[in-house]
This record gives sequence, C-alpha cells and structure tokens, in this order.
Amino acid sequence: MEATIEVAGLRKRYGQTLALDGLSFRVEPGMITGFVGPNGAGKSTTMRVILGLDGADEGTALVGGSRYVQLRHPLSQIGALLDAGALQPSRKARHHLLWLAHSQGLPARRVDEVLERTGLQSAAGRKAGGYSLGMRQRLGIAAALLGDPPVLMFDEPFNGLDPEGMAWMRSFLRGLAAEGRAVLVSSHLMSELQDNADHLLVIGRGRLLADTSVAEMLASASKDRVMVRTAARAEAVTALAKAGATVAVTSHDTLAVAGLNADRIAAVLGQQQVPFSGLAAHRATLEEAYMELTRSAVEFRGSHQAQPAAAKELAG
Amino acid sequence: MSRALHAEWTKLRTVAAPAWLLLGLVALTVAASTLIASVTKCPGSCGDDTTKISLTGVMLGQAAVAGLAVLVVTAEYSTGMIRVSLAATPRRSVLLGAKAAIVTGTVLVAGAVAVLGSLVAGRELLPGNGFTAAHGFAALSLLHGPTLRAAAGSVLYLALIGLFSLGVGVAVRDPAAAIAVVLGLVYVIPVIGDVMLSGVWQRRIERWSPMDAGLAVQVTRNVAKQPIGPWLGLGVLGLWAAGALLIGWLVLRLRDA
Amino acid sequence: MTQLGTPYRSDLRAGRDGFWQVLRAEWTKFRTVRGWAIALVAVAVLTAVMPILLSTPAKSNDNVTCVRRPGGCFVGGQTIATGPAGDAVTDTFYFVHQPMAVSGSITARVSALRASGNATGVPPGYPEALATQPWAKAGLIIKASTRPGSAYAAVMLTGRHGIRMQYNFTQDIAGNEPVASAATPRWLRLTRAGDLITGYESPDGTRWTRLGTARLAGLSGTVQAGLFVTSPDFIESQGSGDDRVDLPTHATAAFDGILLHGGLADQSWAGTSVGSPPAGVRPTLKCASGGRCKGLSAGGGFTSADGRYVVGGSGDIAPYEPDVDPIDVAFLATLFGLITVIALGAVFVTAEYRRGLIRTSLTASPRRGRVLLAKSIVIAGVTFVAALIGAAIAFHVSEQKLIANGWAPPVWPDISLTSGAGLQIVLGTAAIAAGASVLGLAAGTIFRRSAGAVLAVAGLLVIPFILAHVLPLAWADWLLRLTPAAAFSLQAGVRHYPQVNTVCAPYHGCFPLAGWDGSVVLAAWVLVALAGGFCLLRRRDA
Repeated sequence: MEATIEVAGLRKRYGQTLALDGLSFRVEPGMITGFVGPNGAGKSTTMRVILGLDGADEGTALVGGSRYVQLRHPLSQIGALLDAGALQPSRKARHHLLWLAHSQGLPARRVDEVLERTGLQSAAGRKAGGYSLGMRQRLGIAAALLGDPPVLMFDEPFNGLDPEGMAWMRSFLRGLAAEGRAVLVSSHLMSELQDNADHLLVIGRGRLLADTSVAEMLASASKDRVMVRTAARAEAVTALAKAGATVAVTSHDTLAVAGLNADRIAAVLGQQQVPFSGLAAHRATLEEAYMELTRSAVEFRGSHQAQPAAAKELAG
Repeated sequence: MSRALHAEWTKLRTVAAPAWLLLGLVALTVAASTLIASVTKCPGSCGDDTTKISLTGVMLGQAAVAGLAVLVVTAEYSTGMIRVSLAATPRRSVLLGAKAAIVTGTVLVAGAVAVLGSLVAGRELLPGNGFTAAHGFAALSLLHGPTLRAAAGSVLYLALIGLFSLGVGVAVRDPAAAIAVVLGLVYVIPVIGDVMLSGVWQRRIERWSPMDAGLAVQVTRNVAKQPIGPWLGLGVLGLWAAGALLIGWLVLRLRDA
Repeated sequence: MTQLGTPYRSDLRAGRDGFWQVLRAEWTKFRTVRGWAIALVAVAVLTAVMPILLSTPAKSNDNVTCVRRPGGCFVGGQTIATGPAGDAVTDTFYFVHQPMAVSGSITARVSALRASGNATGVPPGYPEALATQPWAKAGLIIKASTRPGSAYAAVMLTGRHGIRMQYNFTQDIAGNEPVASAATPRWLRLTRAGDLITGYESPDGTRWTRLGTARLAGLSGTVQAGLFVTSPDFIESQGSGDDRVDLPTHATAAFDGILLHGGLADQSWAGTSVGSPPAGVRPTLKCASGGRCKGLSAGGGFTSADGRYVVGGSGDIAPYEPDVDPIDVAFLATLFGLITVIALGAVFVTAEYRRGLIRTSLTASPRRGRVLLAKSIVIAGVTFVAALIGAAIAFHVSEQKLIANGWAPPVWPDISLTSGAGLQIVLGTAAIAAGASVLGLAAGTIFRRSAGAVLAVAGLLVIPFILAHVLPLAWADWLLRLTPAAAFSLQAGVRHYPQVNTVCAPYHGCFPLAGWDGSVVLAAWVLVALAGGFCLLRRRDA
C-alpha cells in the first residue's frame, strides 16, 4: 500500500483548549477523502501539523512515510492549500509560483503548466492582490500542483466560490483523484462532499468520530427510519407508539418513525384506521448524518437550536 | 465626534500594544533620565542645566510615543480594519480628529507621569553629584518658573511628537515606512546637526528640526543664548505636527482606503 | 465501499534539493516585489546624497585650517609638519644634539622625567593637568635633520607607558619593562649603521636589551643625534559637548653618562627647539567661555653641569590627529539610508506574517533555519550592493567637496577611493548596511511586526548617537563600544593612534573602537539576533 498521509495519536493543546485529542487516520490514494467537523474541531490544526507548521505535543503525522520536515522535495510529495489569501498582494501571480518553483528546484516551465491547468494563464501577469477570491483559490491550487505531488490537501476549497467556481472545483478534485492521487478536502458543505467524496473523516473536539466511506455513512444514518405523512398526527403517534415504534414529530404533518419497517407501519395505521397520505423509507442526506454524529461535538452551538435538517426538507 | 472618540478609546484599550507602549514611554523616560542624572557630575559638566539633565529621558521616551501614534493608524491599514472604521465613521476628518485626541490624551497623561518621575530622580540624584548651591545650583522645584515651563513643555512636546507621528502614519500607511520616516526626521536630523561641519547649517537644524527645536522648551539656563526660544521651539514642532496631520488628512480624503 | 485507485506517480523529474534552491526562491521573492526594488534604489540614493549634502556647506574655519607662516603650517598654535610618509605629524620638542656620521651610537642614562613649568590656567577638577603626562617623553633620538617632520628613530622613557622605541611618528614599540617609573633611572642606547637604527635599554648600563630596529628610508650622510624631552598637551573632556580642556604641558628630565660614538670633530651639544611655532602663532593662555583652554607653549631649554644635562621641553613627536574627522562626519548621514535598510530587512520577513505567506514558505522549505539564512543572505547581499554604490558616489563627491572647502592636506589626509582608508569607508558603509538589514530581518522574525522591529533596531543604532551628546564622554564611549553603532568606526578617515592623546568624541567623527573592531561588535549583534530569531522561528507554530 502506498503511504500517503498517516496520522497517529496527535495531541495538541493551546493553553486551556485541547485542539487535538489523540487523532489517528490515514488517507488513501485514488479517492477524495472528506475531512469534516464543526468549526474549531481541529481540521486546520491537523493540516498544519501534517505540514510541520505547528508542532504536535504528542503523536506523529507522516507524509509518504516521513515527517514533513525531513522531506527532500516537500512539494513533490504533498501539495496543500490552506489559505488562499496567504499571498503578498504586491507580487504578480506568476512570480508567486516562480519563487515556489525555485524553492523546489523546479523549472519555470512548470509554472506555466500549472497556470494552464488552473486556467490562470491570462491573469498570471496581474498582481495577486487584485485577484478575486475564486482566482486566489485557483492560484493556491496551482501552487499545490506545482510539484505534481501524489497527495493533495485542501482546507475549505469551496469557501466563497460562486456556483461556476464550485462546479469547476468539484470536477477538478474528481480529476485529481481519478489520476490516482490522494485528495484530502476539509469542508463544511456536506452537499459538496456527498456527491464528490469517497471517504469521510469526521472529527469533533479533536477526536475522530467516524472514518468511513460516504456510502456506509449514509446507510447508517438512514437505517430503520420511515417518514409518515398524515393529517391525523396525534392518532398516528398513539397508534405507532402502542405498536412499539419510536416516533418523532418533524412537522405539522410528518412523523419520523423508527423501530418498525414500512410494511408494518402501513399495517398498523390501516388497522387503526388512521389516514396517511405518504409513507417513504427515509434517505438521509450526508448533512443529516453529519449533524447526528457531531451533535455532541459541537462546541459553539447557537442559542437558537436549529431544527433537524431532514424535517426542514420535508416541510419545505 | 464623541461617539468616534469613544470608539477610538475602546479600540485603544482593548489591545495590548498601546498599554505596553505607554508603559514603555514612562519606563524609558524615567530610566534614561535617572541614568543620566546619576552619571553627570560637577565639576565636569558644571556648565549644564540641571532641569535639562533631569528631563533628558524624554529623548528616549518619545520613541514609544512615535510607536504608539504610528501603530494607532497603521495597524488598521495592515489588517484592513480601516474599512470597518470608515464604514462606522465615514467623515475622514472626524476619524482623524478622534484618533488625534485619543493619542494626545493618553500621551499627556503618561507623559506627565514620566516627566514628574524624571524630575524627582534629578532632584534626588543631582545634588549628590556636585550640583549644589556651592556651584550655583538650586534644588529642582516646580515652583521655579522656568523648571515648571520645562516640565509642562516636555509633556506637550511628547504629545506633539505623537501628533506628528500620527500624521506621518496616516500619510504613509505602512507601519515600517512610517516608523522609518518618523525616526529619520526626529532622531537622525539632530544627530547630523550635532556633527554638522557648517555652523550656519548647525544653527538652522537646531532651530528647525522637530526634536532640537521642540526640546528648546527644556532649557532653563542661558535661555537667551539658545538658537531658538523655548516656546518658539515648541511652536516649530507644532508646525511639523500640523503639517504632518494636514498631509495625512489630505491623503485620507483623496486616496482610496 | 472502499475504492482503491492506482496510486499516482509523477513523471515530473524532481529538482535538486538543497540550500541553493531556498536561496534562489528567496531571491525570486525579493526581486518580484516592486516596492522593495524602489526601497533599494532609495537606499542607494540616500546613501549617496546625504553625505554630499552634509559636506557641501562644510567650510573649515580658522580654528581648524592650517595657518601658513614662515616655519610651517599651524593649527590652533600647533605646528603641523609633513612626515616621511606624507602624513600630517606633530614634531615639536627640545633637542640637544650633535651631528653623527654614517655609523655611530649614542648612550645615556635618563632619570627624573617630571612635569615642570608653570601651571596657570588649569580649571578646577583637572588635577591630572599638573601631573607628568602619560605620553611625556625623554630619551635619545637620531633624526635626519632638525627640520620638523624629518625621519627619526628614538628610544625614550615615557610618563606612564614605560620604555618605548618609536620611529617615523607612526611606529611604536613597547619596551620589555612595561611600567618604568619616571623616577627610576634607565640606560638607553641608539646605534646607527647607515639607514638602520637599533634601540636598546638597560637597567644598569651593562645588561642591554634590544628594543627594536628601524630602517629609515633615505637616511644618509650626517644626521643629528642627541637628547630630547617633550610633553604633549593635556586634553580632557569629562562632560558632554564643550566642557573640554586643552592645555600645553612641559616636562624636564636629567641625562648623564652620555656617550657619543661617531660624532664629528670639534662639535659640542647645541640646543634647538624643534617645531616650536614662532611667537604670535601660538596664543598665550586663553580660556573660552565653555572652559575650553588653549595655552602657550613653554618652549624648552637645557642646562649642563659635570656631564649632567637637564633638558626641558614641550610638544609631541607623533602623528597629528585633527579634532574633526570630516569624512566620517559626512558619512554619519548614511544613517538615513540605514533606517531604510532596517525597514526593508524587517518587512522582508514581516510581510510573510501579515497574510500567512510564511506558511507557504515553510511548507515549501520545511527546514526553517535554511529559510532564515537564505533570507539573511539575500537581504544582506542586495543592501550591501545598494549601499556600496551609494557610498562610492558619496565618497568620491564628498571628498572633493571637503577638500575644496579647506579640509585638505597637510592637516587632513586626501583619501583616494582606492586607498586602504577609502576602501574601508566605502566597503565599511556597505557592510554596516548589510549588517543592519539582517538585524532588521532578525528583529522582524522575533517580533513578527514591522513597526516594533524597525523601532527596536533603528533605536539601537541611532539612539547611542543621541545619548553620546548628553552623556559624559566615558559613558558615551562605552555606548559606542557595545551597541551596533560601534561599526561606524569603519567610516573613519582619520587614523587614531594609541600613542596620541585626543578626545575621542563621536560628534567629531571619532569612535572608541578602531576600524574593523567595531564591525565585530555589529557582527556579534547580528549573530545573537539571528540566533534568537532562529530559536523562535523553530519553536513557534507558524
């Protein structure tokens, strides 16, 4: 197995806050691995530790089997985009890539190649300070690709992109994974990851909550739940509860039922003559599954508690 | 204006750097004054002016004032917060006025502490170094008119250096460049003046450079023989401050934030 | 579902790894920001223009210009002669002499070197003015002629520097016995073989120790040999600025056991006051308002009885050091360029912290020490070149202007750009700039804020000059020995000799450390600051 990113037992403390609490995972090649968790869960810290920017109190983070500082050509091992704004505004985009290329002993030709690949050729002569956010993201990706690394790591690449930019980013990431690279993408936008990521690493409060494929995660979140649409909500709740189901009211005319399968529900409701207009096996979204997992790990919960996302979807 | 003032005051007191710089102003001034008062001896420097010796630390303390005033404005440019500030206080002159008032106020208070501390050190140390009645020196006292003028003038001097630095900061925007300009004008010109091989130019520098002219206010002996009178000298520094603030204001108005 | 693709293999050939790549990347970084290039041009322009501006209106006034009268050139009552090497020298002493042939020797016992003469005009607080001067000299001398500035070699007893052999003004050899009391008699001997003079000393006239030899170029035929006594001006400044005392002093010494070989027939001892300014040139004692005193030369003379000669004299045989070093003073104006250099050095690293670019840099080059070193080399290199260009122009033009303004030979040296002193000034200015830029860079790494870094480093460099003017001189001296400002000694145009007593005041362009010694202090600061920056850069999370 090709070694890409291996993280074992990372622990890091900033003053009182425990940012990473024994985090371990590895990233596989040829797929997009989503790295998700609420704000402050430790995603960016983990990425900084992987890149040797921050030191961990305990544990190791290896890239290609070595600690980052020991890599001879780091950008040929891993390309990373942490902060698209990390530029000197007065330097031209092409020159930004040029000094990076020089730091790796790469020829200037390589700069033109990555500019072309990210569609920035025409804007390469402009100062990076004048770039829009989308262009800065592209420039950051160009920098990450400079060493043509087998491993790529992007922190919130979808942030602030317009729909066109998102579409570009999505297909770009897919393309990179299809080439056999390992791609680690942190994001809050579950909908983006649902369609694109193959594997998920979910963290909360510095701990790994799930290390699973997207398909498995969706399946686990959807299991045994059936949505019932009915005008006679109270009666339905009573009938189903009596039959041994766990019932949650999700809106004025929908119930989420667990503990009974759809056939059994239809039978119980028919028996009790409770009218219902719809019965559907619940298909959880990734966002819902994520909310479920991270609920306990959310640190900065707003005072106004959000309704479960699934309920909103049905209600709308 | 009062809201802008309140906002600026809140900005100033909610970050650590200004407090440290104000503390640095007091510490540097008193420490340098104490050092110089303790090593200056008569005979040797009997021609010196005890008030001026005691207040020498102001020359060092002003570096902290310059740092504070420059930071108050350039920190906003380097973080982009200036756009938030201008959104909250769209009138450029009000914003600049509020900043100037806050810098002046805090420097006046810290400067008064620094100057009084320096005078106390001089009063305690200088008689032991031979600056006694036998050599024609009275103990330092604020009841002595020229000494009071020198003390009050030194506090005003610090405030004017603050306003000057603020003006440069607004005009230049970059912290490193602004500090470099202020240090060049305040410190390097007098150094060049000291060594100037041309008497005419030496006198010109003593009359017109911000520090030499401004510190004329500290002189209490042979006032008439000085290149420039005490209040006139402080007035020259006032002109420098006014000029810098005017340029800063023009830049603030005419250039995009 | 776990889908495993074929791991990606790049067909990109890996570039070379190493420090060179980091250096090249930092250079690319520097040259691709236009503001920095402009700042660099500003450094060159400021370094060139400010010293020129300073030297343009600098007319040397009567106090320091050479007054030409019959008998030579006089500055403030001192005779300025031109030494064998063409430098300005002081050559004033009382000489009891006889002609000496191509080979010969002179031997004598010297005792009781003491201050003498009247002591009027000594201000209170300067009792040392009345004591025997440390560099009062009494001994034997062989000199080409009695003309001031002619070649010579001498062995002597000094007031407080033991027995010395000196020749041709600049050369000074310490004797074996470092502390010889002026009261203790010593035997001294000089031998001549053509142009080769050898000096000896002895405690008893039988056991002789060789002090050294001097080859005096062009010393041929008959020369003058004999006894001499001289005592330099007492110059002292305790306080700052104008509290300065400058008094002539006078010393006498007794000689006996005098033995002259190689003397000419029918000759006897003659006394000559060598290099004494004629009456009217050296004013009688006069104290200026600030306590600055210039007094009369007491002249000299000798008496003899029973082979014992008592000789009295005043003056000095030494290189002439003018009070003011005009080229150094002009080059202090390079401080303007230096502040720009410091700001540039600081910004070269703080710009990376401002927007998080440092993370990209450290991702590309994870070995942080290398990044810091590469940055230092780049910033030091570019500022060195910019300051070098500026300093060369400044030197060339300033030197011409200073000479046109009266700062000219024989009192002041005419330094050529390609001479040792000229190169030291120009290269030294560039080296100071390079050092200051790295100090700025290191401070920027430590503070991560440009304002703080510039304030700290520029303060460290400039404030010693401000304080030097208000502190007592002894303290000012230490300040200019210990702070990075010590490196300004590189810009000295006037050479300072330990055997010359002068008041070394920074506002006259004199620094306590000589030449390259000062740059060692700056280098030490740079290394300490870089080490501090490196430790923090390595320890801190980026």
